[in-house]
Amino acid sequence: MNLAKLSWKYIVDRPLNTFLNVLLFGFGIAIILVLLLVSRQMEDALTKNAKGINLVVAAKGSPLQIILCNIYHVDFPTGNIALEEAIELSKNSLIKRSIPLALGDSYRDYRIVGTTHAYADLYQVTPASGQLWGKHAEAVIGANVALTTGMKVGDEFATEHGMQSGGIAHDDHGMTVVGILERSGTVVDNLILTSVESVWEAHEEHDDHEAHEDHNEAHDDHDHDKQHDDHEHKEHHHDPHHDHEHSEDEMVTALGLTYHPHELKDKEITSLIVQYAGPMGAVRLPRMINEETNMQSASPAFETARLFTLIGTGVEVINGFAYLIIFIAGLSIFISLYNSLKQRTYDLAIMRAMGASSRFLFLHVIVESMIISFLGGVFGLILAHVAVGVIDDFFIPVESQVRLSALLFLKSEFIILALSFGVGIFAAVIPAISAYKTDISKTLARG
Amino acid sequence: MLSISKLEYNYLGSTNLVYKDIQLGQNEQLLILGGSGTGKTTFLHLIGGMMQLQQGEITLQGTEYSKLSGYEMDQFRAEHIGLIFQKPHLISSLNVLDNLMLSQMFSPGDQDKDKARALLQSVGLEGKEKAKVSELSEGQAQRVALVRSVINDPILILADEPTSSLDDENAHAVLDLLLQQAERNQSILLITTHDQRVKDRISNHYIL
Repeated sequence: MNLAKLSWKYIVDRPLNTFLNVLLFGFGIAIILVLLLVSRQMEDALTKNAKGINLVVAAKGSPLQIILCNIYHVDFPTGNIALEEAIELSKNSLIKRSIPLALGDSYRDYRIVGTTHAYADLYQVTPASGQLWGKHAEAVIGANVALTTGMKVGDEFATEHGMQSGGIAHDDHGMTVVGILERSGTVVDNLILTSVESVWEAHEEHDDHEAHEDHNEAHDDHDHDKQHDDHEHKEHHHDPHHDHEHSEDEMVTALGLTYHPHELKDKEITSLIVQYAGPMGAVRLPRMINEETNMQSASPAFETARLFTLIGTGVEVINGFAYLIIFIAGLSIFISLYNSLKQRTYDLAIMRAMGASSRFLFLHVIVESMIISFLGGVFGLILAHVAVGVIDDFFIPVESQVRLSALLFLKSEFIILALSFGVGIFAAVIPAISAYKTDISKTLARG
Repeated sequence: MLSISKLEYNYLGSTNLVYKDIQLGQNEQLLILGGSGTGKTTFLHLIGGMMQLQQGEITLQGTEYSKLSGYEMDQFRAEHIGLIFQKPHLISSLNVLDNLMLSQMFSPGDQDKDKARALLQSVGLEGKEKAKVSELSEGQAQRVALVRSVINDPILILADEPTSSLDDENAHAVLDLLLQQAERNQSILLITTHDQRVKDRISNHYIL
């Protein structure tokens, strides 16, 4: 027999009461821990995706939208920026590295990102099979894209205009998968990477095609079938490949992109991902871009922090409720101890008569509460991790950017557990003091 | 050796209780008799060290109660004094054996389950070790309480009306066992009672 065993015997002697207390305690702790685990893992995933990116420069619009679109690939672009302006900016000495992005197309809900190899370098992804993309109509797919579409190296697919499936298919513009990237746990897993030039090509063809259709319709309206030969002749002149072959020796390169000098004025990209050369970049670049150019800069660190403040309010409210539950659990432990001690006064007096000291009785009650709060804490810890696992398995799609791990344990979890332990002890203090003060003689005399 | 000298106790606003000086040696017995309100229980509680002394001195085996702190008195009681009451008052959350182990726990020596089992056997309760307290009859429970009071081999056994709620058969059985256990340990035995069945068995009386 020892103190802990004695307290334990009293606990199991009141199974329903104990069950209720452990349940309350456990739920309170589980809610706090789930919030903690989910928000931490979300934050980690988001931070990981923005790693190494100091600034995103895009068309004027909401900075948050710019970040969501160009880093997390969930929102839509704010528009396009002129390639000429982007190139001009990239020459700034405050910028160490700038990576162009051309968005707008997708394949089966996966976004196609026209960029340079520097983008793969930024996320430190390398092909698990195949190789990185070349200039023309070659694509490298992320691990999740490969998983869900089942595409392999050498497969061809038709890109769709727009960022959701159901967009107009670029039927005539197929892309070939030349590589599959290894899983990185970043947004890249869900992307199809290709060259900016390939995106341009697809859009030029697309635009041509649309213009052509208009032309065709107009033509048909005017004089139905007669001028068919003439029309085909015109189409031939519009072929971009024709222009290409004609002037290949005049190509120039900037930002890792290759284009005709005379095309520069017409070329556009969606955004520019920027890495500062030094701390001065953070001070001067955003203002300079916003004030002196037609472009808009957005800082991922600032915008995600802002996003978390928005989510944070909701988290705070739920957290508040959880602490309330723990408080109620503490109160419930207090009430059940207090009530049980009233019935146990004689037991306590008998123990005193057997030679138990006052401080033994004090500890006896405290330990009882500690055991209950410990059980509640362990129950809460297990419940929280199971819940996180269940949330991940049933509610988060495989290809989601934010995957949750049930096996991640945080230091702060144990702080919460210690805190709840404290609540348990605190709840027992008053009953323990009354146990401490048990008057043997008076109690025994009452018989 | 128990010696009581000039012992008085005064409840506020009540009569002053004055006790006579008593000296008892090993294996001696004393029956304390008196009607209700005469201070029997107070006397026993003072000797058990469960009440603070006001006047006079109690010395057991050379230890003066007035020189002990509250905590030391608890330790002393655990080691040297066994108490038994009118009702068994076993701890109902514990089984029979654990009730005995609890008593051993408070005493400095090692916890000895075999000793507890042997004592249970000696009072006719073999096989009841794991029984719940609620499963015992009144007589059985009082016998467990008796074992509990002697398990640490006390110098002094204090029994407060130990038989008054028992039928004849059980009363005699408990009394037999009490005398037997006191004899085994050469303990001093003090019993308060108004039970005729006890008066017939013990000749040394102190009437309050």
